[in-house]
Amino acid sequence: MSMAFVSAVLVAVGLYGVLLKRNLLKVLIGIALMSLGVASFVVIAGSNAGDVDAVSQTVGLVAVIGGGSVVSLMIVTAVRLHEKYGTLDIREMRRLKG
Amino acid sequence: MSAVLPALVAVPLLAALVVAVASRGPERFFDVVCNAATAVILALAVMLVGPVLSGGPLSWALGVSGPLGISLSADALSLVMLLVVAVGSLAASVFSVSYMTDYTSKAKYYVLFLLMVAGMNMVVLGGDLLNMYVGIEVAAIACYALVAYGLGKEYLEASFRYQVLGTVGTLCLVAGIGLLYSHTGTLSLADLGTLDDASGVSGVAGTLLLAGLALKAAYVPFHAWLPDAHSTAPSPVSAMLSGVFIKVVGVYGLMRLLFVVFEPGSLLATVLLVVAALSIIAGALLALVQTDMKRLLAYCTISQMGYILLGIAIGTPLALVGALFHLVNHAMFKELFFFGAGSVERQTGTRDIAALGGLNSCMPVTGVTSAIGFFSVSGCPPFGGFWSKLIIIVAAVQAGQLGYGIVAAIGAIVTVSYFLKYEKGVFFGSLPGALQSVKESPATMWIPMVLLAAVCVVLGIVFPWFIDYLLEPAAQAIMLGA
Repeated sequence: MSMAFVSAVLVAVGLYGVLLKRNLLKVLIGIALMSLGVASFVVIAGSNAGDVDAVSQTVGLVAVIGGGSVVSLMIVTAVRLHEKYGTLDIREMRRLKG
Repeated sequence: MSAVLPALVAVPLLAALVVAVASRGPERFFDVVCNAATAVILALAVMLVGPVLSGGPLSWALGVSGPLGISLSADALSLVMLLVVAVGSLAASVFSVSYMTDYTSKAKYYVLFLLMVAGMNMVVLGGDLLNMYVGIEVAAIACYALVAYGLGKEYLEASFRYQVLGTVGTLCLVAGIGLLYSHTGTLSLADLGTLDDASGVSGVAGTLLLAGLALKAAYVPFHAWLPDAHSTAPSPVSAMLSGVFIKVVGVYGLMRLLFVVFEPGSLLATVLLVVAALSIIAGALLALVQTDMKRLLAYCTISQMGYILLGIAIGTPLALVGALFHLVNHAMFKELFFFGAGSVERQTGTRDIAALGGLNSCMPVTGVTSAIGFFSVSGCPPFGGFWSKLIIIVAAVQAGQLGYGIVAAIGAIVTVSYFLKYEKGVFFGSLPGALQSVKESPATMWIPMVLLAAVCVVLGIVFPWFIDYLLEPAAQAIMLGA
């Protein structure tokens, strides 16, 4: 139960960062926290009274790998955006229409 | 024959490796490798048609059984998607030969392109949800990088937004897959289809899967990323994204899970119907006010994807055939349109509809092929787009969903109006003085356009056989629930 609570908190904190933060780095930290939360949630959902299921562990592991790759790509994009704009604030990057 | 299945994933992966290793070699070499790889994929996919349709689904497995090994399987539905991916990627890679010379480092582009194709083949061949998820992730990451490929401000910004929303979508999918597994104890599509009581897994898992797939397929209200990503990406990438990618990573999953999680008549199926109607209308109305060629096409994609979802959500055999047929048609004419827009942008330097006009006189091939795409998208008989929309509307009425049928008909009328604006603003009327010296694009750009236009015409003429031979078995595969 406590593990499920931890993963819920991770997802909630991550979602807060993604939705409300205006700094690209904070948004991507939010994404990283969410992906960790979801991965641990998947493992917990598949485990049964202390027995951890191999399949859900695999899904969780793949989710961690996928999340890590996306986050590294996002870091590269954020660095490039910082080079172009000199800031990480998304309010100052509105070149695209709606 | 089943050895073809891993080859479909391995060929683009190997080609990507070859291009990556030889990345300092001559550009011509990369053109040849990428086009050869996509041509081989098309040949392999065509080779599968006979055996799968006459002998039933093929499967192939590596390692232990179940999701811990790699299991691939191909039934009629996979086959339809495979053919769409193969034709779409071959056309896009031929188009890239000339188009991508304007960008730096073609080798990196081809590596990402081939990885995206490998990921998509993995999705449509995946025999369980874990393999599908891995394919979605590989294709999506390649796609994020391709959207940012121009490295300008707007490319990076569109890509970042796409990365954030796309990742939230994948996380919803993973959480949904995890819950589905904890309820059913299996991830195999074949096993999920044979569950007696699948209703127990809807609810939270169904909502998460629906949210994830809808984000991937850019259904309203999850569409915010699509117009930016699809309009700023290089044109062959836009064509792949709009024509093939969102169908493979979004709609295909919905079809696979349709009778497992979203059973017709359930609350989730009603949600699908509402989302479909919203996408048709909102996408069409937003397209009406666009002045940028590629943004207009991107909003059109949202609207046309609504038709596909409408057919899926109605869920009768006829509606599913209509949805599949519209999926194939949309893939063909949307790639054609994005190639046309890319060709116009490259030759004139702008894609602002207001600044263009009269291009029919100096770009005849682009003009005529775009007109053929226009006839198909706006539903003129005998082009494919007419039959698929008609089938979906008839199926809606037959299923007692008269209201949704009317929404689809209204959407079709709005589609005609914004594409009339597009055609008139770009290809008809008087040629602005600044564009007097515009020339037709090079052969490697207009050949794929001509071929796709030919496919649009042929699909409209041979549709009864096409439906009988290929789409009916695919709809049956969806109805089986796996």
